[in-house]
Amino acid sequence: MSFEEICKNQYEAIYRFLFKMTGQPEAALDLTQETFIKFYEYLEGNAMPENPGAWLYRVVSNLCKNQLKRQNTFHRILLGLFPSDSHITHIEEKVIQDEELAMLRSAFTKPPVRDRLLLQLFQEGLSYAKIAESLQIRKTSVGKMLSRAIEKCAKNMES
Amino acid sequence: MKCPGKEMIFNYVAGELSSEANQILEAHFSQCAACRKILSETEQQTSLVQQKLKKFAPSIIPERPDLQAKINLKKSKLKIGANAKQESFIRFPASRRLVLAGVMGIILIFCMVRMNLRHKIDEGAIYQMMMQYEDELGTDPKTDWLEKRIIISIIDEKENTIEFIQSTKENEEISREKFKIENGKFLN
Repeated sequence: MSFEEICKNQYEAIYRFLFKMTGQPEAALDLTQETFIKFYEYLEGNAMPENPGAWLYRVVSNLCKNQLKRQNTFHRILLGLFPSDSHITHIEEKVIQDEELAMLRSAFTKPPVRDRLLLQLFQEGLSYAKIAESLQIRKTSVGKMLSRAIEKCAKNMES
Repeated sequence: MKCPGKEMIFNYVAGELSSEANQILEAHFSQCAACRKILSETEQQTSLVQQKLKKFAPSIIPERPDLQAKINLKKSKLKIGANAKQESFIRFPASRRLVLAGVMGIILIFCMVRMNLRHKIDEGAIYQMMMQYEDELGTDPKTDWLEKRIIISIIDEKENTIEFIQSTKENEEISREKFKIENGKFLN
């Protein structure tokens, strides 16, 4: 499979994943492009990975972690500057008009980034093996981590 | 069979177990109410989270940008950046930078020393010396200034000397005396 074919096949899935994680269309698009540029650069010096999808999700996961860290830092700075909630609209909420969705997203931002990545990768239908490869964790740990993450997330969403 | 843990039940829900393991678990569920309850809760929670997460999906997916063009642009930028870096390195290698820094340091020290020398004889000291000289000459500032005046000039900072030239107001030289300066005073 060529680079172009992989781009064509994976572009939508990667964008969707990044949008769900960041909640920002611009950030999702930028990160999607960055992912494929990184993939192209990787292919210049290496052979095609055995599982290109998992390779892409690994890059996406790392980019996501950095992006969410930046978003959280920015949010914290805003909170420090303007402690009253009336002045602030959460970055992620700016693009979400639906109130219920905003509440859901708020519940989803509570768990650690790794748990969120786990949940989204699982939601994308990735197998334990691919999730483990993407997040660079042991395959045997995926089930335990995922069941705990789902339990916590479900409680957050219900409350 | 011993009751499976939550993790095993979740793995069953996630479809990550072998068909053999599935059969064993299903047989256990049919006999164990407690495990059936856990199974039901796990299924509900998983389904709830998956349904909710689906709502985060974007309503519109932007068109796939021309990635190849972006890659080419990035590569050309990298190339320009690398060339510029290489050129600047050739033109200005570390050894030259070190020599230049040394030369600039010497110039700076020289300037500071020169400035220090200049400030050794400041205006206040010159004025004091002028007063001292006038005292020694015994001139009366109230009357004599109409007929004569004193021109002061620092001749040489290296020699650290001061020369007083006394002249009439028509610029006719009356006397000229040169003194060595020490600690802001001239020595007779």
